[in-house]
Amino acid sequence: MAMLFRGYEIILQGRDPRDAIDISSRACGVCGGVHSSVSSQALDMAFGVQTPPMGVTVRNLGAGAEMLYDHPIHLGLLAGPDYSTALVSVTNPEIVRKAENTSAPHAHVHGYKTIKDIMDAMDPLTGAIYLEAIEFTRLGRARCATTCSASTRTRRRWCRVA
Amino acid sequence: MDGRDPFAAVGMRSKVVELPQANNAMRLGPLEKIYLIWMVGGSCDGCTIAVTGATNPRVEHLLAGIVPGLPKLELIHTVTSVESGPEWVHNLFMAERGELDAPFVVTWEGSMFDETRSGDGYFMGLGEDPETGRTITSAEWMRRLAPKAAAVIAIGTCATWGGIPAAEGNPTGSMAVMDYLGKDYRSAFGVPVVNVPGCSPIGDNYMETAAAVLLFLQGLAPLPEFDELGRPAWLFGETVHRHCPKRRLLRRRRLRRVLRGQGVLGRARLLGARGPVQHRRARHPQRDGWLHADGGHLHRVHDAGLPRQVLAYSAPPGSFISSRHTSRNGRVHPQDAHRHNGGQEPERPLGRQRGPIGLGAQHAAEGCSEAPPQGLPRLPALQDRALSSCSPVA
Repeated sequence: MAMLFRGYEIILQGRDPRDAIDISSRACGVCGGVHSSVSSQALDMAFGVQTPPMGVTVRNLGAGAEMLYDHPIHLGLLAGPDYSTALVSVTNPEIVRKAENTSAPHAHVHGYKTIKDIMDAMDPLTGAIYLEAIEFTRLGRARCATTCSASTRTRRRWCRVA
Repeated sequence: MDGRDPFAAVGMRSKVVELPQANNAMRLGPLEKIYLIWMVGGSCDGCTIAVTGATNPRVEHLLAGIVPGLPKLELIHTVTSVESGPEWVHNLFMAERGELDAPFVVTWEGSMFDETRSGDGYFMGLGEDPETGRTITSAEWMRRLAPKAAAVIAIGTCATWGGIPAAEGNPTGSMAVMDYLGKDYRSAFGVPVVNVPGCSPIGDNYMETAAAVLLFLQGLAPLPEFDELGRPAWLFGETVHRHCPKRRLLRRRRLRRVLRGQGVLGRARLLGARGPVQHRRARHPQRDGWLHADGGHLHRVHDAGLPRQVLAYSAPPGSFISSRHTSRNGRVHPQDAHRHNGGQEPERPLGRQRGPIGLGAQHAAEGCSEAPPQGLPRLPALQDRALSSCSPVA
């Protein structure tokens, strides 16, 4: 059930179509970039123009950069706590007991022996995955800023960091 | 509340999230903890995401209560709280009845809806009344919680000026928090509405403002200084232009191209880069760009009048913003009006005859040996702020 109506579709009516790039991205604060990208593509189709190859590259870089900070936010901050020990032990304790005895595949890669260890790491504010996800959103945000910004100075600085 | 009851609203949080306990020896003020009720109106949750990027102090440190001098923050958030449904709404009822064991600060994200226009339905529902089953709108929550809040902080352009939901043609009658509560609103602790604008806002701007307000509530610091728009004065006193890395490019010759809309900067200006009229701090070059998509995917638009500044292509008259603060940011220059008004180019020569408006006005004042053309109205915001660091233009 929708709990929120902002009327973006009504606001968009009767405007210059290019404004859709800016307005539609405000529909979501987590994934706004893709709204802008898709609006641009829709405008390309409507105007009958073709994106130059370098333009496609820039769009792909921007989309990839957004994914870099979008996915840690979603997996670590928004959805991760739903699967953490702290919450599952309240709602479904039997799953936690089962997770203790279930070994995690590819433990030699990520270092978590059991599923319970992974669930522990997803605890809000204390788990390792949660905290690392917050830190990676900051890195991804900086990457997104430097990718999408035309500032040469910041771009050079990012190259030094990277 | 019984801390052992897993479904008790506050107790559940203290049981589930076993944080490192704050060292009481570090506590310098009367408050050991404080509740942060993060409410949303017509929001996109982008401000929440922006605040997670703050590093001074970091949000996880503040929530863990390990920042010296600051109370531990108990977050009651619409998205990131671990409770959901009636358990979450129970927090709000407790806050309204004054049953929380600490004061609470309301942070509002998103614009306020005019629910009188929603008829039988609602624009934004946030929980139900357990007795009647009636959906309580978020605007009603604001009305119920604001008089008892220790402070009300509006974050984001939607909450501070109205934002995109308040653009022309919106059916919801969106408005800013300050417009909703009234200019004379004071919280229970005597704090006016604190505005932290931006779309999306800089996370550190919010964090520093919130930390300053918390220090005031602790009695460790005076009430922070706010400007006439309710923004923290120490963060929004300068324009973005001051720290713009492109600033050196704005020599006089290039300025002509910029004002004609040529070159990278000129196109950026046409696309809405408003560095010289944006008041905000630009401190982290990596995290804060100056053109589009800086610090994320969104424009960073911090001043009143967001739809006008963002929607560089078309903004019909009247669509600029609903907030009463629009006038503060200046009118559209007559020569710029074609970009806002149907795309009809005025028949007048651009370039040398153009007055010192928009991007580069400061440089026109600094770099030009000759006096700038007279007879053209200038943006009041530029006269007030951007030119204050230069020699006054005759």
